[in-house]
Amino acid sequence: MIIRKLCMRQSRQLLALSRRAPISSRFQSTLPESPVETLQTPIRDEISRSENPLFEMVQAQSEASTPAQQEFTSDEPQRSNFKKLGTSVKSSYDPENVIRNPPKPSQISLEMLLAAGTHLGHSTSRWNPQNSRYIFGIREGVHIISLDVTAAHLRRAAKVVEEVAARGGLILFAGTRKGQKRAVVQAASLAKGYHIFERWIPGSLTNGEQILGHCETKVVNALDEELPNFKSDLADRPSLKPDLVVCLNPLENVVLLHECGLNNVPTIGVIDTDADPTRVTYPIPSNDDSLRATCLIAGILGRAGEAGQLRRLKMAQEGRTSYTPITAQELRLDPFTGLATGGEGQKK
Amino acid sequence: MNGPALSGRSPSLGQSEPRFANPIFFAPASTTSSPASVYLVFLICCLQSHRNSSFISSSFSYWLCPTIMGKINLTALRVRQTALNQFASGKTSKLPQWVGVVGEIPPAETLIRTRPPQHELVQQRLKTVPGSSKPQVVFQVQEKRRKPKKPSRLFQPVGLKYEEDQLRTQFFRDHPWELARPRVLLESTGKDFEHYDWSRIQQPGKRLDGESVVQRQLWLLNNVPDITKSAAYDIARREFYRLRLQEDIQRRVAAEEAAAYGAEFGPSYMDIGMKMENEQYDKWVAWARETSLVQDQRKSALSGAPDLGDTTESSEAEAEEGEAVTL
Repeated sequence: MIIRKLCMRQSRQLLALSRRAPISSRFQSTLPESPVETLQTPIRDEISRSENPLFEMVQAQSEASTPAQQEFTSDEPQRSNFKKLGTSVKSSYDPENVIRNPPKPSQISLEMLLAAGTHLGHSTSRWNPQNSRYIFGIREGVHIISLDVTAAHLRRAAKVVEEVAARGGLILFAGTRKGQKRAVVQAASLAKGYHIFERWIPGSLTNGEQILGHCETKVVNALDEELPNFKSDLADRPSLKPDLVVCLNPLENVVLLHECGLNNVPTIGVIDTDADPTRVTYPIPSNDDSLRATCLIAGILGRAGEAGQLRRLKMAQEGRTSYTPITAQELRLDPFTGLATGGEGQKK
Repeated sequence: MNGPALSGRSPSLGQSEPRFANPIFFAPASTTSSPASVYLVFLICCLQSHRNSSFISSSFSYWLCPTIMGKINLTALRVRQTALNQFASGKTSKLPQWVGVVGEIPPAETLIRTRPPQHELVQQRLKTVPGSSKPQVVFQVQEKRRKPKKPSRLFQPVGLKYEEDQLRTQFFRDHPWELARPRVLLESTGKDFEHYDWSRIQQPGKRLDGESVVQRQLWLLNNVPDITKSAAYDIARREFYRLRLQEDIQRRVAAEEAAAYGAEFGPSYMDIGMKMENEQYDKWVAWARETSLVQDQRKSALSGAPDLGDTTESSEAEAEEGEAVTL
């Protein structure tokens, strides 16, 4: 085929093609009624509908054009009768359930942890001997984490999350592995905290002014209502630091935990048999490679945070607080000169 | 073969705290001239001082404690202590809100290692004792080995052993194709074992498989007086075979019923295999015909040619081949 001067040669033919006119109506926000519907005249049908009780079946059969369709429609009543037979599955495992409706800390049981697979550690050759306290035994070349130790540490961590939430602390949930996103977001939304499901940007705590300086902050009262009057006072304030960090994969987030150590922030972490338990303040010995296990732990901690927030708001409605709120005077002080405030930018 | 999650008994259920609670420290005392006990006491102070120990400054304890100087970073464990020290020295004007929380709920001991649970293989049997009419439950513990453990392995975890392991090995050695059957690995609640009663081999909500035989055999060993392992194995196996036969019959009858109602099943694996084999045979026959034809032509072309040394031999061989082909 000769491609040279194709357009010049073929343009006449292209123009002569009978093309469909552009449909401008599809860009309208409301679709106009199609003219096909107006053609239907259901007056006769209404009469027959009132006369004939089996009108729908007759109608369906008359609508069927091919023999196969007719056969299909004629079998329909038999099929619908047949569907009632057989068994119905009542309780089955739904993987979404642990994310949608996570259990409360009071519901922690060894069976639940076992079913989630929290007891499965790593190959014995990969162990960190500092975890020997949490290891129950060896099975098929794999370390088995003791379920009762996991339950005890999980309850302790849940208590910490609840208490920090009840005192109005900022809680950060971090889970940066693939698939942990939804569990982390759900836990943070339950605990009214913050979440990270992508990479932790190094320096977010130690160099917060540069990395998080553009982020929005607000002053709220004890009932979590925003106070816009203090907007101008927040301009030159250092970035906020969390009061508690929950890390679902400490192996990948060494930098985050190191920065927490430098900034003196308590941390909760899921510690597998190959992780270093001294990196976090409150270790939860558990399998961190199973999504079901980490989702369960995140959900339980989220529920604990929810309980703490409820308690705080209830107390606030009664006019009490379990923490010393920051005063307006403190908030109006220049953070760099004169009396330095503690870096707490929220009025509670 | 079977992970610990799948066995009827969960590995950690009913396990109390480790029985040997002698606190022995993870890192050995340093080789400095001071006596080791002083340092150990000091470490206790450092580890236990989360609650009310603002009297030890963090930098002081950090630099002088010999175990910390080596490799263990205790910054995370000492957040409260550091916060209190920073407040006392005037670095921060206000204590963080979580200080009280961490004081009330101190972090658990991490670095003090305990003796891991020493698992032993325990067998439960019902035995008739000559004196009494009722059979008695007898627990037998596996003999300890004569050679003591190496001191370096004193704190290493011990392998978990259950009696089912031997039974499971035996069953799957005798029935290796049982491993090829699909099985459900998922645990929905972890409480499936509550519904099981191994006085019979069939269980609600559990497919009949090798694990059923193992659990049934174990139940027999635990509950039938004076039964031997092979006798229990035979009983459990026989029940298993009977149910497998029933399953086969059920499946066949269901297929026949479905066929009677007009169901059409595709060709079986055997039919597919036979078809493929036949195709190969046909291909070979076509090839052989063609080859014999070519050889015949060559022979006829050479028939007028002068005699060669080995023509007789080769012609004989060709004739044999030709016969084989025509057959």
